[in-house]
Amino acid sequence: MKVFKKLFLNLLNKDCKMTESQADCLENIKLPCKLTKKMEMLKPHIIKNKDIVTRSFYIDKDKDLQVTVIYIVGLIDTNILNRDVLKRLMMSYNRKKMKKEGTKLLIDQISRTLLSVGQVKKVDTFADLLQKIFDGLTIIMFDGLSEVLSIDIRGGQERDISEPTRENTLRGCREGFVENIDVNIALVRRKIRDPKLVVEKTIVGRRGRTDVAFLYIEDIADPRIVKEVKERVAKIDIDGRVCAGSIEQWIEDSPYSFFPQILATERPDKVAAQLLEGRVAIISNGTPSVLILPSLFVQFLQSPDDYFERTYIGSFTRGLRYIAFFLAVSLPAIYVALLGFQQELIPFNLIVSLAESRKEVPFPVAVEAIIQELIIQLIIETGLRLPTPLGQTVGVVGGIVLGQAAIAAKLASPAVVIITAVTTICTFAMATSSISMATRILRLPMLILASTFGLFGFSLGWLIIFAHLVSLESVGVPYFAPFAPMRFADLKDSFYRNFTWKMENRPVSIPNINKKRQGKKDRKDKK
Amino acid sequence: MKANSRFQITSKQLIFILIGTSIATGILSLPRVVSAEADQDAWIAIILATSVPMLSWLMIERLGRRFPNLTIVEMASLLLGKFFGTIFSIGFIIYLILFESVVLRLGSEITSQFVLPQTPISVISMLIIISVIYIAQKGAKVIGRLNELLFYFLLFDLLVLLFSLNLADSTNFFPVGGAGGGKIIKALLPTAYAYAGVEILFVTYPMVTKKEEVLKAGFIALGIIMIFYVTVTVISILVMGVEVIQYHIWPVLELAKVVDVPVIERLEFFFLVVWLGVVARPVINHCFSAAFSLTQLLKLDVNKHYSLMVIAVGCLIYVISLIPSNLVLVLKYATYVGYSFLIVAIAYPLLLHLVVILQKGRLKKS
Repeated sequence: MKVFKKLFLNLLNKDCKMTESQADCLENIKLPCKLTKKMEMLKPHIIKNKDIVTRSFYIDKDKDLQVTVIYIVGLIDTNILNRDVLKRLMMSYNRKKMKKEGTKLLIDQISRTLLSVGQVKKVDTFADLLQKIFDGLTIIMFDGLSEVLSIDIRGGQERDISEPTRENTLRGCREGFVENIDVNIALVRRKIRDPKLVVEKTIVGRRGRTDVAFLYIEDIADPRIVKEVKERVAKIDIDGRVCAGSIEQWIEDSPYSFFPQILATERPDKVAAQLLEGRVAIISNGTPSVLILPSLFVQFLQSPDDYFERTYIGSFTRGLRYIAFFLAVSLPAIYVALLGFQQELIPFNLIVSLAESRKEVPFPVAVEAIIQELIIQLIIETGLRLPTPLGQTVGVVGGIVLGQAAIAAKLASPAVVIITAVTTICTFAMATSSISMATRILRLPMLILASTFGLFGFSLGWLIIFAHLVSLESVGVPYFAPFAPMRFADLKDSFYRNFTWKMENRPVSIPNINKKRQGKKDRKDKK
Repeated sequence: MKANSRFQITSKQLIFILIGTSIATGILSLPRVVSAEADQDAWIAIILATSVPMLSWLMIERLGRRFPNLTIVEMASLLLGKFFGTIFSIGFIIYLILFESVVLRLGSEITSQFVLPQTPISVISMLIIISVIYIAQKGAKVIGRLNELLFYFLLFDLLVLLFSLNLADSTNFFPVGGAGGGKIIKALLPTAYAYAGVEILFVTYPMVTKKEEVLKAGFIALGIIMIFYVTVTVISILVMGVEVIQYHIWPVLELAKVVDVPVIERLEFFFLVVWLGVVARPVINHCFSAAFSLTQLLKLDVNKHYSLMVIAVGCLIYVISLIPSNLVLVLKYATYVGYSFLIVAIAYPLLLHLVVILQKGRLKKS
């Protein structure tokens, strides 16, 4: 094979020095002038692919300028191709006018006067040409000109912008990200019309070649963080394509942690707000979720509604979510610890009614709780993946039949069913799904600790969780800030939300180079 | 020491580390220990006793200023020569390990008595030491942050105690100064042990980023510790009176039991949930400093071998903590360790200072 390749390369370009590595050679090969030779070069690469269309025609009635258009079916907008490329080239070519300028400038002339599409680029190396074809661009090759044109009329079927399914809000905007990277960038652009909003693009994946964009605001984001994020993405050496989820796993600081360290969101308004706090957003082509770095623990418990509603309501819901987090991790553990070990800490009246309800249940309280916990985990998992009508059925079957019937059959006490139900509700009360997943995983070890060591196990579990949270970092930023390290200035947007007009400075937990966020509110009307 | 972000702390974190190291199991028995000598004037003794750790902090800080990048191990080998320096450092490390063994044992005993009466002490200690090892091997930065977080939980604990004030009898508190000067001074010695923990500066000084704030940080921390101790002692005296306190090994825990709040009924729950943090914290801090010193003593690479050393030190603390057969013996050892605190906190820096003065000429050359 190697010998063939060498020969082939030699034939194509005699100037190419074989001392360089072959890959370099391939990249440096200039395209030949003759159209037939270009086609010959391309042939081994495209002959097997039936989705690649090559269309040859003359743009001149005298047939001395042959043109070949190459594109991949389904990746381009055929209407635009026919109307703005093929028709223009075939019909509007004015030979006399063009000939005056000479052949050298012909390609510029064509791109300037004939092609009525936005993105046109000249390509002169073979490797570039090949890549452009498979990136979905349309290639126009001319006979007698070494350069070829690549035009971006990518299109085809795509999903419309729709409401984000996993992050609904009451008062927020109703648009969510889609799969197309350019649409997504535009969605953010619409929210921040600032020349300082920088969009940088790169390509990740050797074969999959996913477009990945970095968005940040130049005069807010800390350049060190931007650099670090870009370096980490550049280090991804993956064969296939990447999606937001896989980028997250490649670049996060502590892959062995249960806790999500990079926030993924489907909401452009959320991304815009985070960018304005000095963070970097990573948009990858093909996934409707955008990554935000650095992310802190508090962000996972924030919902856009906290900011859209009035302060007291926003603070209330925010606080509720912290309670939900605590309960989702530890409510079954507390129940088991108190009932199994420290009964004396339960108020007398309560323990009487609890004991009454557990009278005929044959299992110890820990076993009962663990069984219920496993069942509810299975119901959640089933419900998430099934289509909506079926999912509801599972919910009904799981909730009523398993719960009610288990109590009637004396296999579970009503108390433990209530506890499990409250815990499950708490799991989904948190604003982002990734933190819900973390609590789902954490619950079982906590339950086991509490059922072996009672309250002591419970506090041991939390000590380790806290130590772990405190040790986490996201792009080098302490993850559990503003709690530890305590940043008093940022507490106003943590477990409660202060008035929007009081947040004059950006959060200090996220390094930024522009502290001031907004001016003071003029409150002359109130004395 | 090389600049290493895993072993870098801010001066603010130093405050919390010092608080976390000092306020250990001792706080539960402090009212008894002090009021045994100074009666209802225990709080005066506590305030006066703060001078001991302050003096120690001042001396260590001065040493740190002289050698800003050296921990105690490096300092000792520089000042005392290889042989004596090694002995000096070994003494320091042994002290840390013994001290934390006692804390671990006492913590486990209390946990056993109040939370898990059926579970053997060895199992409880093992659970605590496993979490300690997990946390300590993460390095000084994480330890600093955790100390900070746990400090706020401790504040919550103090709030729980405040609930018991409705049972307070102010006559228990009077006459102020009635115990007499002699008794108060006699109480200084046992009280000073409660401040054991300042010696951690020997290890952490090179890690602090803003060295000029170390002195201030220490005094703030000691001030906060003093306020804690005084509050706890005063509440105990007010609620129980000096005589009753003597009947309890851990009067502060009894206080938590006394509290009766409607609906929840017993606040002990909250106290005990946070309690583990109070036990684990000093063990974490000193396990870290012992392991760090040991790594330096054995001339190992901090980045590579520190975690291993933590495991070794943790296991050692665990094994030693199981040696005393009963609580009375543990309390006796606790007193011995208290004496050795004075050696480490006062005699050690004093010795180093003396050597610095005597060897002034030689040090300048090197």
